[in-house]
Amino acid sequence: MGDTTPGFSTGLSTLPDSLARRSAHNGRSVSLFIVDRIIPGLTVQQLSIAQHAMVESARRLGGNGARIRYIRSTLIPAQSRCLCLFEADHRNLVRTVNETAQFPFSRIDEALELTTPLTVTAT
Amino acid sequence: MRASRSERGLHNVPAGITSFVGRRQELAEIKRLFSGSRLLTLTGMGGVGKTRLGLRVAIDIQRAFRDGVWLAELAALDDPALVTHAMFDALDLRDQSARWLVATLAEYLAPKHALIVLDNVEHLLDACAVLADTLLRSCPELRILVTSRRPLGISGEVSFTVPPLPSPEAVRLFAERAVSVVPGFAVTAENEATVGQLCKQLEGIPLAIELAAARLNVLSLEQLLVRLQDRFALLTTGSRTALPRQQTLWRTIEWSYGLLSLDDQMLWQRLTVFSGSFDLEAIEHVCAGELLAPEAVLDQVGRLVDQSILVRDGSRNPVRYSMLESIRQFGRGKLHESGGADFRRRHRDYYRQLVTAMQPFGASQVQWFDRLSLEHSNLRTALDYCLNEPGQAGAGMELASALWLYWETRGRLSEGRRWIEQFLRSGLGPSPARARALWTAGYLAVVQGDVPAAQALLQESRDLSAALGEGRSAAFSIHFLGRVLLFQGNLAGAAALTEQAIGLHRQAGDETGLGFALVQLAIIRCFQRRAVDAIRLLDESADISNRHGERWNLSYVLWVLGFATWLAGRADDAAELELRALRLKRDIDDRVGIPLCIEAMAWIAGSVEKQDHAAALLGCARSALQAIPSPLPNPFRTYHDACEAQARARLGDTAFSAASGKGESMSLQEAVSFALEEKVIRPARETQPRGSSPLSRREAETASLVAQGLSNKAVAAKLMISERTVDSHVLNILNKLGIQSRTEIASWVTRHQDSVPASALSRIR
Repeated sequence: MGDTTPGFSTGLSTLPDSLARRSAHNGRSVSLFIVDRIIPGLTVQQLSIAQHAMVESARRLGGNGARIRYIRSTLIPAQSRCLCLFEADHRNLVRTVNETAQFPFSRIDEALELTTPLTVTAT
Repeated sequence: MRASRSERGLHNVPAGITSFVGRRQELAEIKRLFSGSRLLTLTGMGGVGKTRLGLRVAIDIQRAFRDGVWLAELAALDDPALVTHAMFDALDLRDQSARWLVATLAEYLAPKHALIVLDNVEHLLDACAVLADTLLRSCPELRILVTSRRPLGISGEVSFTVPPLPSPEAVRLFAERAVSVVPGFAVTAENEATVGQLCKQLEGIPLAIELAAARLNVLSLEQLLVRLQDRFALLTTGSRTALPRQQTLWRTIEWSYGLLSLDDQMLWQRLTVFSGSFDLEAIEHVCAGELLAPEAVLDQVGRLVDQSILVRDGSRNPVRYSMLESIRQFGRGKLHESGGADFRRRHRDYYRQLVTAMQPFGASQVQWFDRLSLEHSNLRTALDYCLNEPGQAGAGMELASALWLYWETRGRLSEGRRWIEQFLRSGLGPSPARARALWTAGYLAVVQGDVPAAQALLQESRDLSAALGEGRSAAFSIHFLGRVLLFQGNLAGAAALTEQAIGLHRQAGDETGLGFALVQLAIIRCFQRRAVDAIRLLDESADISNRHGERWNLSYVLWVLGFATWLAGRADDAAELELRALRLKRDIDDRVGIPLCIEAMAWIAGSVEKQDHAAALLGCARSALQAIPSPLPNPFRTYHDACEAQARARLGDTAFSAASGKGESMSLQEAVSFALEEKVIRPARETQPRGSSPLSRREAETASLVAQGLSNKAVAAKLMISERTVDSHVLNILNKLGIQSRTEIASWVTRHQDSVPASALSRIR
């Protein structure tokens, strides 16, 4: 995905101003969002329940031109912290999906994901 | 103690719903559908009787559910985040931790064979659908019955569209309703055709029929028919996409509205600002004035009850009233047309006054908590108004903070915190109200065990209070920072902060804070093995409570006094104090304090070598904690673990497990009675098979049906469970009895009639 996105392959100076990663999808772009939550005592089993809830919620609220997809979660047990990654048209949709799943959160931020190191060209 | 689940007969369906007309075919079909599915949704237009039918089904099949039938009414909710809270209310659970509520609910329901009824979900369809899907995945023996204008649209759902009443039943409903306004009314050969035409005009819609029948006090049957026909002909057809029957109901409501006096119309509109149920005093304060004379309200309410606009609940004192959703929606629309925003503010003002007028640290505190529980729906509406209306966030923050003891004592910690934190984020600047909101949110977080959040909130409150010279808020923020340190095991630090808080509470003349802080320091002294100091502090706190006539803090004084007295080596006195504490906690319905008392009683019993009793009490405490649900707070685990280890060592594992299992099998009410050494009265429903049997009650029932030659599918239909569950029961039966075939099951049943519950035999016959 990074290969086809303008700016990625030519160095840091040409990265887009926005931190959002845009992936082309039938000509329309979506953004990545991280949902950050602190849930005391959250276990892997409970997170699994939450995943089903988020997937079902995204399924119901996506469609009619709105796109949202739950991607994955990362649990940090020592901090009771859970980070959930979504791909969506806009932040409000991510908020609504999580509220519908009744999985409380502290913040939702646009995210940039880098899966392979950039090649930095000295200028 | 308010009615526990066992006192309520394992359901919370309102008693009035038992009056019912017809629907035999629908009832039979719904029960048949439900025997093959775990999720059934009754759909249909508003006013067609979905709720009444759903509740009737629930009552009829409740005996098939070992763990009861529980109704969650969602009509008054606007916020999807509160759906789980509504289920907590239905199950009489307490939200006492910062854990994810949905997970807590799923874990609680996982071992239960229960039926949940979700009523009126259409406006929260997605949230209810996701929650239902989650619970059905996690709770294999749970079933859910939903009433909604639309299906949930999730896997495994079966939906049934509730039809309007067919003619004979519609006529019967009309006649039953008519008799309540015209005693002696009967359907006769002379009027039968007219009644039939009326019901046909109203398309068999139950609510429309009830509204029309209510008019017989002023109109004859013929007049009623003519006016309805004229009215329906005059009105426009409305939305082209609306179903004809929806228009019929709406037209009937509009016709009914049109027949009212202007004053009664105004009252109907204004009543729509209420949520859930409300009483006459609230109606008079919120709706009277501005063209509605306060002294006329009582008669007006009576008329609206007579016209079926208001539903009267006479089971409470004072009487409470409510509105069906279709009628509320209509009235709300009319209020909006007439520019009625002011009444929402008046509603908020009334409930703010209600909250602030009462004393949470006084003789009427428990009545205050109970009253607020009853008004919870309206409190939410008032807070929601403050959150969404420009310029009202400050008032909302004060209201939410003033409820701090209510949020705690009635187990609504997450919700309370959520409201306060929403107001804190609303952009209001530094102020005394903000300082207070910060420590109240911090306090709720401490009680939830969310230490990092508590620390941040309380430190911010402390700093802001110092900057503003707010002595009271400074005292409370330091007081609860002391509790944070206590939970972290830093006894010296906790003691220092609590002593500082005590000094500040004295300076501010705040006896509420002082009473609580003295108990907190006493607990710390107990952990520091300074029992004599603890007792001195508790004596002062008891004096304060007694002077004010308050009981909540006093119950904790007694509990800690019992603990301190035990540590001081006086076990008999300690046991007596814990008995007093537990009686008081039962009276005030302190669900968190009850298991703490029972735990302390166990430790005391163990220390005087009453190990069997100690083991049973440990089981009772576990049962009481599961009723919340909540784990035992960490500071007390050491004592619990030591008590259990000693009892196990003295009794042996088998005897210990038997004794503690006996305690754990009790309901909350039974556990409290046992701990108080009162006679434990178990409900009439059998909980164990007669004689001794290796099979559970459900397995014994299954065995009995198998013995009669029924297939697993037929057994499932009979017992209202899934075929998959029957498969599992049969497998368990074969394994437990060490046999190989259904024929052998039949032989076993014949030989062991005494081991099959009488209730199973009677049900099956």
